[in-house]
Amino acid sequence: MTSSIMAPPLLDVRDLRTEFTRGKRKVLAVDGVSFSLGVGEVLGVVGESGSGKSVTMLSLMGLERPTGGSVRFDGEELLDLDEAGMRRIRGNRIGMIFQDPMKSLNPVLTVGRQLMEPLRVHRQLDRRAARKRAVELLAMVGIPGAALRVDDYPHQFSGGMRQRVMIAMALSCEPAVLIADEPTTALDVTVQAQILELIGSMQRELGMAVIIVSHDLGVVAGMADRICVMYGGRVVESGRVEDVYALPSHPYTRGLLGSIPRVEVERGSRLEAIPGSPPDLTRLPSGCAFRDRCRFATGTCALEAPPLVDVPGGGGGHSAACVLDVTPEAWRARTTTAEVA
Amino acid sequence: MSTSLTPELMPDPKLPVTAEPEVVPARGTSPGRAKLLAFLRHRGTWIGGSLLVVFLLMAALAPLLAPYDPLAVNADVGLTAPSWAHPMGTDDFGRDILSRVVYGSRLSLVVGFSCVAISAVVGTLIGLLAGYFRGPTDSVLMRVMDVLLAFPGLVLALALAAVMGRGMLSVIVAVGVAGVPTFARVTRGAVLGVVNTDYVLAARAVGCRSTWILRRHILPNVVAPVIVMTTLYLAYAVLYAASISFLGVGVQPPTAEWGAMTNAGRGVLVQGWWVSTFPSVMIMLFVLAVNVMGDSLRDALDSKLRRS
Repeated sequence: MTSSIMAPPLLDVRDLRTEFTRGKRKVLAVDGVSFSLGVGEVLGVVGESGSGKSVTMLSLMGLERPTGGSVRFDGEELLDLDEAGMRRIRGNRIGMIFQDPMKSLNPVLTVGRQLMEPLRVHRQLDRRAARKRAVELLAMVGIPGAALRVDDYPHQFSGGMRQRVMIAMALSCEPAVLIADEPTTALDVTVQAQILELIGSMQRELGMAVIIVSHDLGVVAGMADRICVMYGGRVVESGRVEDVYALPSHPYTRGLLGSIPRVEVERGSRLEAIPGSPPDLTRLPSGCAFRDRCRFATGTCALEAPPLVDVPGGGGGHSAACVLDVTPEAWRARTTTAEVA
Repeated sequence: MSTSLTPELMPDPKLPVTAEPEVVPARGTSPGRAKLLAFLRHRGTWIGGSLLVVFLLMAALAPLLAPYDPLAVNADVGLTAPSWAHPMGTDDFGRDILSRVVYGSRLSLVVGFSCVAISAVVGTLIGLLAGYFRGPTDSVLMRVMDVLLAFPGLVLALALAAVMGRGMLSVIVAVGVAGVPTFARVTRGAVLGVVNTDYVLAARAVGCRSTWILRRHILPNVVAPVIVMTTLYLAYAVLYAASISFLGVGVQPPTAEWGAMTNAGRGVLVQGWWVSTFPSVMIMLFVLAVNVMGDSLRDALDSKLRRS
């Protein structure tokens, strides 16, 4: 991964903001999100529902209108492009798959026709060539009998098979970046593993970069090189997966990791949960958005949202947005006193 | 991106491809085909459909079916009651009512279908644009539709016919325009239900143009209520067209048209009931046939109403 850190990033998102108007209220769904993605790199984006993960992805695809910031992709500023310019990027250079494969295919069109769309739009293939390619793509994502299945309708496919179709569609133009927005959330556990395996093997085969959005830390841990933890529309911690998992430095990340059930625990010990519920984006607290659920919150947390700063002693590029002293020693001291109390 | 997606390289042997249990229904049963079958199985389809076929044949074969020239005046048989020579009698000019009714079907059908074509095409287009683009486009288009809708259909049609002058063309345009807002509203409502679905978002994420999305993804998903509206409005259109002609603004006297014929017989209703009655019965039968068929179409297409 050192080479991708040295080279200019393929996708560089800086201070992205997306604002909605709900009635009279303004909702800042994405509040100054920054991250970058190198060629062939896998970035995991985690957070609870409502943390702004999906809106961030839709914003950088231009499917939601961002209100500020910058998205540089392959040397081009995407936010300056007009609709026609963005259409050239979508599905061609950046592919996207969605959460619910049951809903992301049009029920009245055959799977083949939908697979042919990006090929006809971006590659200007004629009907026959596009159809031939669609069959190849279906075979590639592991759909048995692809030559026959192209003419089937979405309702004739199972959820996992439909997600395979969606992946084939997103990969049809060999994009440089694949955005997978909760690709396994709506699927059975057994099928989840297959889909993740498929995304992983495609990523290695094509050497493309992947952004995998999930609320499941396990999903991300298995695939990602780097990870971004989001809360309340902001990135609260980011770094290499090993670093973040070894030294979670933001109280929220610690909470997330602590709430994963483990096999090797002492009898009688309780599963830790983060108190409270995911934030309502229309009513975020001042300062740090996590402070009303944070065990360690102090008065300074309410003043302003802390910026992302490098974690002292953490690996290169590991940063967290917290006013606390986030060194491992400080955490050790804090957790022991909390347990005593 | 040096690696290309060649199928030989691909299916990764490590990939568990067949582990998924899968129910594969009969190949190639599209949702549309299932609905067509439901429609064909419906009783109303056969009753309404066969009546409609009779009307269509009547219009197509009018010269063969009509025993007399519909415009031929014959002073010898003025206002005679139905008989073997004139099964539906004659009017006060001695013209054979049966022949006029048969020829009248041509005009009524042409007017009816043309009106519906205008309303359905224009209305659906406006509804699609309003529902898809929302915002100012939606407001402007739908307020114009509201203005049109505020006039009772017949009054609007009469006013338009009066402005454009008498004749068949003004009847067609007038009745066609009067139907536009209904189609626009129905279509817009259906579009609103489809436009926020994931598959429309997915189509946008693939880089499709708005026009392509509207045509390929949205139109097929909203066409069911439009088809139902089309049959129902066909009945209205024939009725409206006949009403306008009855009121004397539409098709002019010597021409055989059901509404105009009903009007012509009004003056002699006491002496010759048959002059007005037969054309009005034809109007009624046609409207009935189309409505019965429209109902069975709605049953077949509207999943919310379908009996399980």
